[in-house]
Amino acid sequence: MLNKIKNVLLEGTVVVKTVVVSILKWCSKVQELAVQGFQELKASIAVEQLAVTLLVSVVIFGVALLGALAVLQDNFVGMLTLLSLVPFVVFQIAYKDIEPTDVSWDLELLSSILVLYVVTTLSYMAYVDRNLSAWLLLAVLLLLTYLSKPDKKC
Amino acid sequence: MDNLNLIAKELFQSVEESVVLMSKVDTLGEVAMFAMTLPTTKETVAILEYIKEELTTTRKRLVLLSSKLGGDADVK
Repeated sequence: MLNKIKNVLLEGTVVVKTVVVSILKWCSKVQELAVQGFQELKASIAVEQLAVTLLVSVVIFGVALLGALAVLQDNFVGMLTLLSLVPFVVFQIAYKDIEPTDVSWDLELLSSILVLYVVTTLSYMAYVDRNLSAWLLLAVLLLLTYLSKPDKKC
Repeated sequence: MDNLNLIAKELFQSVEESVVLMSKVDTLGEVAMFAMTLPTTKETVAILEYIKEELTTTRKRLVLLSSKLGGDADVK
């Protein structure tokens, strides 16, 4: 009787061991996938950060150049550009350590500054220089903004 | 008799632990799959890093459990 019980227990141990080895194999597979996903994610973050850093550098350099030219030529728009650069640089320095991987925030801020710059320049050209092309471009921008507005019905 | 009692007790504990570990691997796998569908942020990276560490710990526990049950257990 005791021998029978012992045999049953030993068989049970073998079965449990087989199950544990299967779980172990499964765990290794899941771990492999997680590591692979982690590395891909890190690589994509690195690429995005590099792209954003390049873009930010180009924009800052461009805007600074325009600003410097504006100061030299007493140009109102150029000076506005310089002013728009100040909050951007401040935000960059203030939030760089807090959100190092949140690239969408950088891009949103950059696009807002660029749109502000384009609209200010066009408004200046349209109103002060009485430039017809600038008026037309402003009208096109307004139309595009209206058309790209999300449909609030749904 | 005492010996059989000990074997039965260890077997029961091993079954219990293997069920817990299996459930853990299942949950971690599901969370990892979900995390990979999220936008790339530092939070997503942190989640995956945590899952990676937890899976390593779980794997170590499984290896220990397997060797306790007898035989070579190192599965790559």
